[in-house]
Order: sequence, then C-alpha cells, then structure tokens
Amino acid sequence: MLNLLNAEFYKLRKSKAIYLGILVASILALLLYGSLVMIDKINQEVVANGTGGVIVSQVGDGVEDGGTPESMMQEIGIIGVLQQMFGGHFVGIIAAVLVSIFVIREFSSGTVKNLVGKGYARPVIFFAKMIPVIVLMLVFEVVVAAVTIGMAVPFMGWEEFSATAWGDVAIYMGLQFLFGAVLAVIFMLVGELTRNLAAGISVSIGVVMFSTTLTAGFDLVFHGVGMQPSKYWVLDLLASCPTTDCPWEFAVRGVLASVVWLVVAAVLGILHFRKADVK
Amino acid sequence: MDYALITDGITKIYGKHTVVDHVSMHVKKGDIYGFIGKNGAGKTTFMRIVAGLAAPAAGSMELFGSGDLEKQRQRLGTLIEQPGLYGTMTARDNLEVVRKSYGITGKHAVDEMLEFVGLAQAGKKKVKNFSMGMKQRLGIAIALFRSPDFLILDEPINGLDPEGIKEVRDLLSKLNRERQITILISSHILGELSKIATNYGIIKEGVLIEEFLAEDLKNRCRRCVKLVVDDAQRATTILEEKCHITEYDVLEEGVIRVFDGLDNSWVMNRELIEGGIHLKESYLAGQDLEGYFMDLLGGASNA
Repeated sequence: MLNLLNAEFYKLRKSKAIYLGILVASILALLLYGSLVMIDKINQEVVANGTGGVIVSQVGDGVEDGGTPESMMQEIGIIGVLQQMFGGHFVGIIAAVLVSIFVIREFSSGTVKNLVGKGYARPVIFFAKMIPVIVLMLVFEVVVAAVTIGMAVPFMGWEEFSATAWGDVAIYMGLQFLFGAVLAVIFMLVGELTRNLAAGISVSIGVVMFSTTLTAGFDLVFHGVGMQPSKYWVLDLLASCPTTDCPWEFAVRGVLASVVWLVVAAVLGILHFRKADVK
Repeated sequence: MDYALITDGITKIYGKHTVVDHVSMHVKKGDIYGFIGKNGAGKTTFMRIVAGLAAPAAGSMELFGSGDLEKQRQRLGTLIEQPGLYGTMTARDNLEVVRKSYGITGKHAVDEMLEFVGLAQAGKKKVKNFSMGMKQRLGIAIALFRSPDFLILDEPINGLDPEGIKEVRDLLSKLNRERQITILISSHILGELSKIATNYGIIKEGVLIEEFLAEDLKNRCRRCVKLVVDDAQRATTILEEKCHITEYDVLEEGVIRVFDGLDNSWVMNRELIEGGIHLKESYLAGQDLEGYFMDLLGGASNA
C-alpha cells in the first residue's frame, strides 16, 4: 500500500495537468476580484448619475447629504469572495476535470493493468488512488483559498483584511475542505464507472451543476413526509455552508453526511473495480 | 511435474458470445509456450484472465501449483495488448512509477532496465512521441521489473523492426535460459515464434484445439512420403525388407509416413504394389511451420 501511495504521489507531482488546473483556478480567483471591482465601480457610478449628482447616505436612522454608496467589496468581505469561489461551481468544475484526468488516464492508458497483473488486491489499488485524489483536492482548495485570501489585501485593502473574522473563515474553509474531499471521491467513482475521459468529465460536471436541482426536486417530492434530502447532499451542504456563525447543527450534519457519502462512494467504487474487467 | 500454469475449463462469455471456451492449458516451468490463434480466437482474453485482468465465467486455474492467484501473480510479468504507459511522461519516469509501485529501492534499477531494453538514450522524449517499437520495449521493461518467474507476453514483437524482433527474441531466449523464466507468448509472426518456443497451444474460436511440443511440431512438419494402404503392417515389412526403409511411422490405420529414401519414392510404390498391397494414395508431404499452422487454423491469413 505504501509503495503504491509513493508511486501515486510521484505521478501527481509529475502531472502538468494538475499544476495547470491549479493555475487556472488561481487566475479565476483573480478574475473574480477583477469583476467585483468592476461591478463595484459601475454601481457607484450608476448611483451617482441616477441621482443627478446628489448623493445621500443613511447614517443611523437618518439620511444625510453627501458620502458615497457602500462598496460591495467591503459588504461581502473576504469570506464572501471565498463563498463565491467554493460555494459556486468554480472549484467544483475544475476539480471534476483534474480528478477525472488523474483517475481515468489509468484506464485509458492501460497503466492500471500493470498493478492488477502484478497481483495487487484491487481494493488496495483503489485506496492507493483515492488517498492522493483527496490530497489533490485539498491542495487545490488550499491554493485557491490562499490566492483568494492573499489577493484581498491589494483589492480590498489592509483594513478589510485585518477586520476579517478569521475564526469564521477557518470553520467555513474546514467544512469546504471536508465537502471537497467527498466530492473528489465521488468524481473518482464516476471516473471508475465511466472509464472514459470525456464521459467522466461530463458526468462529474453534471453532478456539480445539476445535482442540487435534482435534490430540490426531491425536497418537493418528500415535502409531504417532512423530509428534505438536500440537507444531506454534499453539494447542497457545500453551497449552503454558512459563512458566519456556523450553527453546530449544520456542522455536525455536514460532517456526518460527508462521512456517509465518502464511505458510500468508496464502497461502490471498490465493488465495481473488484468485479469489472481491466482493459 | 512442476507447472507454472494449469487451467481447467476456463471460459469467458461476453453477452451471448463465448470468447474462451473451456480452455485447459498446461505450461510447465521453464517452457516457452507459443500461443497461436487467429485474431479474435481468444488468445488475449485468455491471457487477460490468467493475469487477473478479467474474470472467467467458469473454470479454475493454478499458478505455480497454487490456487492463491493474487499472491502468485506477484511472480508474473505481463505485457498484454498495448503496453500500459503514461504518454506525457518520459521512459525513465514511467519506470520510476513502476519501481516505486513495486517498492524496489535504488534508482539504478531504472537505469539498468533502460539499458537492458535499449532505451537508455531516449532521454527527455515523452512516451507519446515514441515509435511503436520503443513503446513495446518499454512495455517489456515494465514486465521484466521485479524479476518475474513467468512472463505473459501478448504480441510483444508487434511494431518492431527486424532488428528489434531479433533483439526481443534473443532477450526472451536469454531470460528463459539464464533465469529459467517461463514464458507464455502469442505472436502473429509464427516463424519467429518457432525459433524460440518449446511448446505450442493452438486456439481456434475460443477452444484450445491442441497442445504439443516443439519437437512434435518439427516431426509433423518433416518432409515425408505419405502412403495410404490397406494393410499397414504388411506394407511396413515390405518397406523395411525391400526398400531398406528405417525411418517411418504409422499415424493411423493405413497411413504410413516415410522419412528416408524420399528421392526414390517410386521404388516404394512399385515394391508395395508388387507385394500385393492395395496402395490407395502416395504423395510427398511436409510443409513449413507457417503452412502447418495455417492448415490447423483453417487457412486464414493471420494466425
């Protein structure tokens, strides 16, 4: 197992696609900041023009002349930008591509047969792939989070940076890392089942983009019996993760649901890999 | 007798099509077993089953006398269909992955293997830019890592130039001779196979129709006069006494193969007829290996 892990991490280090994916995600973080700055600027100018140059600001219960419209950047803060990156589809889609490439190429290039043909137990091979996939996801998320937080200083200013509630950021990112790890294993399961790069990437992106719509439908179906399946689906948890004052109930539910989904995805993947022929 | 592989009734079915049909193969330790069959005859599927890449629908097998296949497969080296290679990596990186996977310490193992298969000069060239022959060599290098006792090679000389084919042939002979590695090898190039194989197995439409020794094959292909007579016992007596024939055998009732005195076959015919033998047929037989296999497999163009 350790030997296989050693080889898997070596492959991970040698994979240009991984570095490229992380770079693209980091550039997306920068673009997000850029677009927020642009929207902020447009908003302020629209307000100024729309009022014929007369701007009023709310101060307490009263209204005073002058001032500037509130900056959206300052309104959402660093954690808001993190939410845009992780709670939306940005990170999920790129991660779907990266994990699919890392997993499916073993089948498309036929390299997995080098291990199966050497007598390694298939569950061991699966685990030896799953652990680096989770690590890949975590590294990817850490880099994106680091870039997002680091870029806050030039874009939002030191004042906003130092005023950030880092405790909330830590809880939010901790949960995101957990959900991300589960998502990576689900992508790996999809890759194992499809064994085709185009199909694997498509299905994984489909999971990211449309599974929450599906769970919303299930919520409607099961509304009558008081069940809300979306509360336990990892992508709904990922999107609805609170950025401030995360309730214990959410954190516990998130952790438990993640563990269940992780185990389910891993077991399904192993069961299929054990039975399926390797080409 | 020690066997590297014994299978008993191995069967593989895809949908309604039986690809491998109750194959019972026997590969002795130290053999170079040439596995011959047309495209789609079931060679690759059978090899994949032995290597654990596909599960049989029925049948059982033993590797090195043991049914613990997972453990015994650690002693295998396989090259089945396309070599499993990372196209975006160099040959060295590919072997480095294998070295780490197998837990082999010391990077010199990679250098030695690259040298061994003639890829030491491949440098930073990515595998996706390799020629077919270079990929095959790298595939063989992967199969040879961790000193296997039993090599399973599916068309290993595919895509190699004549020099490369000779190198691989010499390499396999050397591995078999010096390290007593057992080899199960399939190839379309029967002439090449016949230069190294010690045993053969012929598969046709999923059925292993025959297993025989290389010596048997030579015997079967040997030039001879075939005589079909009504009384083989009396005919052989005449051949011995009147024609002084010593090298012959009787295949089945009434069929005699005579291996000496071929230039004077007319004398044999005359003596037999004069001796009262009813000579139904008399003809020169014998062919090259390729022709023999073609006949066995049904005369198609690829074996």
